[in-house]
This record gives sequence, structure tokens and C-alpha cells, in this order.
Amino acid sequence: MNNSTVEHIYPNPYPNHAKGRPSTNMAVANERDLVRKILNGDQRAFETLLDQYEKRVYRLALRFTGTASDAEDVTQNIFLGIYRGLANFRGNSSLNTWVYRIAMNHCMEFQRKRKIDNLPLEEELALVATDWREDPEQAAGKNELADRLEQAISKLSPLHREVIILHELQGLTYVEVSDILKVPVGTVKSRLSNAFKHLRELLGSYVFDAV
Amino acid sequence: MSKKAVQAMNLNSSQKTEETSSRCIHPSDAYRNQLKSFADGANGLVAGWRIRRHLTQCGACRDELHWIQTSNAHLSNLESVEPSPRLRSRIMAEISLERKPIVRKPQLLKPAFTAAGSLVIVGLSAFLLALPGMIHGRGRTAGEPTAPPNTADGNISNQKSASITPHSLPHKFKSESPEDYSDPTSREAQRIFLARQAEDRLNVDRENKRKRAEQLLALNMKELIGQKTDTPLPEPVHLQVASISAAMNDLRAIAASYGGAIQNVPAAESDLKAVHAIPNQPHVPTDSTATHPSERILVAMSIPSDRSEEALISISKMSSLTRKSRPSGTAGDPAPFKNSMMLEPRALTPNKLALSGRTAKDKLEVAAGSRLILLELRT
Repeated sequence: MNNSTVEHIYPNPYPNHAKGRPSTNMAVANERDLVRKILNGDQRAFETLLDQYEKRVYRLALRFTGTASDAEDVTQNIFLGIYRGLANFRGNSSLNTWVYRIAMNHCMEFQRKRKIDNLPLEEELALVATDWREDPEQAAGKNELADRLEQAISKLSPLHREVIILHELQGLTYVEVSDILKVPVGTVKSRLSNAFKHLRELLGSYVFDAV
Repeated sequence: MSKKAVQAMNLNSSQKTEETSSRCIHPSDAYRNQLKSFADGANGLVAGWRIRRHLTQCGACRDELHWIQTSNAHLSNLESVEPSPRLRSRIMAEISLERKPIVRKPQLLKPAFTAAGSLVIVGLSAFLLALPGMIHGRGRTAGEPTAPPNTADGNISNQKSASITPHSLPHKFKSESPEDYSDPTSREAQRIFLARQAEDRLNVDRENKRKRAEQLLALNMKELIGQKTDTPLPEPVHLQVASISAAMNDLRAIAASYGGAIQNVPAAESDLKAVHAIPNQPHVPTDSTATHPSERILVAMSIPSDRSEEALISISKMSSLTRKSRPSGTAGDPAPFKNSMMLEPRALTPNKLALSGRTAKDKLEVAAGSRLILLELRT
């Protein structure tokens, strides 16, 4: 194998994990200001918080609940919990991590109550953004790939599924995932590695064929 | 061991290493386990360099890495579900019902409290250690000899501590039973005292709020009656409820939380025109759980204008409504609310409260400063 081919498969050392997240500077500078405003009863500030986290928290809740109505209920409880608990936010971790920790606690509580181990695949989870301008065949292929991926994720163990959801789907970094789950970074790495091994067993070469 | 033997061993081990790398055997899966973090750029420099070097020699690991990268790309495109627009209004309505979060005390006081607490603990444990010796003279009369008794560790306790009896102990160190509320120093009594104080304060707040709201409502009514007789009154919002009394409780809570007031029209005059009679026969429901046996009741609610929209949303979410008519598909009661136009959350934003071709928002803006809402509850 020549060097050019090897270079081609080397990963970007600085991957952009922060999908849809405000830039670091903004998060650090405005976080405290935002929290202070909410604590002073400014509802617009809370709406800003909702702007930042509503979609991501809803998607996380949908992953753990399986249905849109349950996800909405859980999301509502999560934001209520965030509002009530903001006075206890000390700023030791980032607001992002703190919000996700609360969200995960609510999702876990929901699962404990419902005792869901393997989530049923529902239509809401299988929805993929299909552009109408796309080639219909290509769009159908994307949908099928998404279906297969969803099925494979739903077959993972709870520990593997949660790291896949947080790291791959929510775009959190290793450190953030370890903060949220309160496990060492090494554990996050090994869980992710094992989760991908399991995914490969389930999906095989389908991911290449589907492109 | 001779030098030749050592050289032979080194030669063997180097040959083995070469063989291993050429056949690409993974005895401990060390590289494979690190490929995922390598793909994410999360390895250290040295570990990254080792994997990079290994990849030049191992086709299996290159395939694995390629698979991981492809899957990463697919997974990152997977999340595309959007929450429904009503979710935000639900959250904001809940938040508006919540009290303002209580800000914690400054952390500077924390070390001081910790130090004071530890001092108290040390003092208390010292006292408890000394206590057995202090009460050792129990049951002794004045005429008995007062020889100093030997303690367990062989020391002789002094006369002063031996003369102390439980009755002479300070009042606050007496044994405390949970039922002993009459004792003002007991912890339970203090807790109850503090709880009562807090409750009293809350009651005073509530009472002040209610009085202010009543005044506001009376003002609205005056303004309403001061209008010409041919001025149309606001039409009531019809609400289908499971139980009138439960709905009244809900409405009272909503009115209180938004700084408003609620007033029900007497049952005999449950007509829209009867609103005029309210100032003559004032009947403001108290906090008691009064029952409303009639199946139809007219209620006037006054809410500050700036919060009336939130109040309308809260009214739409009253448990007495939703219990009876949840949207279909939810767990519990599947009955859809077909018969009540007010109950569907989507239709309950003020702009969509359509009544007889006009919006409820227009009709309810009767009095300046606050908004008068007429509600007709039906079981």
C-alpha cells in the first residue's frame, strides 16, 4: 500500500463533534449570563436556552422513549427539571454537560419505569431527511440504510447504545460523554469500540453497499 | 548466562516480531480496540503514531478503519427528527406556572458553616464521653458514704461529677421523645414552629394576592356595567369538563398563579346577562372545597392582560379537561375530543379560540389593564 492511500484513510485529528452547538467562546462567555438572567425570572432567556437545546434534548428523549408523545412528555419534564435546578448549577461543568446529565437522568428514569431494553423501531425514529430534489432511487437507498442502522442500534446493549447515541448521534466529545455518564474516558472509548464491533457484526459490508 | 546465549535470545525475539508484523496477527486486539478512537482523532501522539505505523502493514485494520469511518458518516446523518411546534408552548406554559428558581446562598459562607458544625460535633462528642462519669452517682442519698467510686479505667472520679443526677442535668439535654412537642426545646417542636411560621407567611401572601385580585375584578365589573346596555358582553368560552368542582379548583389555582381572580355567577342566574348581577350579589369562592352540583356554571375570571394568554393556555391544559378528553393515541383514555372545540391544544392559542366568527382575543379585551374571561363550564 503506498503512502498516498494510507494518508487518504487517516482521520481528521480535529473532528467537528459539536453539531448544532454554539461555538465554545459563546458557550463560555454567555453561559453564566444566561443562567443569571433565567434565575432573575427572564423567560426570554429561558427561550434562548430552549433554542439551543430543545431539538437535541427531544431527539435524545425520542431515542430512549421510542414514541413522539412520550418523548415530548420527557422533554417537558427535562426542561422543567433544568428550570428548577438552575439555582444549583455551579458552573463546575459546562452548561451543555449539565443539561445532558439531567436529560439522561430523566431518560433513564423513564426506562426504569417502563423497563424498556430494546426499543421498538417506530416511524419517528426511522424518519430521514429526504430532499425531494434527490434521485428517488438514492433517496430510497438512504431510507433503507437508515432503517438498517436504526435496527442495528436498537439491538445494542443499553450501555453500548447510550454511548453511540451521545457520541455519534448527539455529537458529544469523549470527555463530555464521560462527564455525563460519570465514567472514565477510557471506559467510553472501550464501550464505543465494542459497540462498533457489534455494529459491524450486525451490518457487515452493508454500509459500503448502500452508499 | 553467556553472551552468546543472550544474543541468540535477542535474535529470536526480533525474528518473532518481524514475523508477527508481516502476518499481522493481533494477539491482544490492542490496535483494533484503538481504531475507533483513532478514527475520532482522540488518541495521543504516541499511540496515534503506533497505529499509523501498524496501518501501513495491516490490511485487516485498514479495512476496519475504513468501515468505522464510513459508519461514522452515516450515523452523523441519522438524526433529523424535529419536535412538534406545540412542544415549546407546552414547556413555556409549564415554566410560567413554576415559581422563580431560588438562588442558592453564596458559597463563601459554606466553609464557615462547616467549621462551626465541626466545632459543635466535637463539643457534643466530648460532652457525651464525659456524660457516663457525670451520672455515675445515680440513686445515692445524702446520708450514704461518699467514697469516690472507681471508674472503668481505674481513675477515681471526682466528687463534683458524682453528685450530678439526671434531674440536675440541663433541660436541653433531657431525653427527647418524638411525641414530646410541648417541650419548646425539642427539635420536633422547633421544626413545627418554623413550618407554621412559613405557612403563615404563605397564607398572608395568598390573602393579599386574593384581595388585590378581587379589587381588580370589582373594577372590571364596574367598567363593564358602566358601559351602555346595548354594548355586547363578551361571550363565554365553553368548556366541557369532567367535574365542575374539579374544574373550579383548577381555575382557582390558575387564577391565583397568574395574579388574577375568579368569581362564579350564581346558579339561578346562569345566563350571560346575569353577569350584571355580580356586583350586587358578590360571591367570591373561598379556598374551601365547595362543591358545585349544577351541571352548567358561568365563571368570570380576571387576569392581568400581559399574562392572559398564558392563562388561556393553562386553562386549556386543566387536568379536569384533559382527563376526559385526551388526544387519541395516548395511553389511558383514547377518546378524542371531537365534541369540544376548546379542548384541542392546537386550537387553544388565543388567536385560534374562534367563537362566532370573531376571535376570543378580541372579545375578552373588555376592561383596560386586565382581561375579563367568561367561562361556561359544562359537564
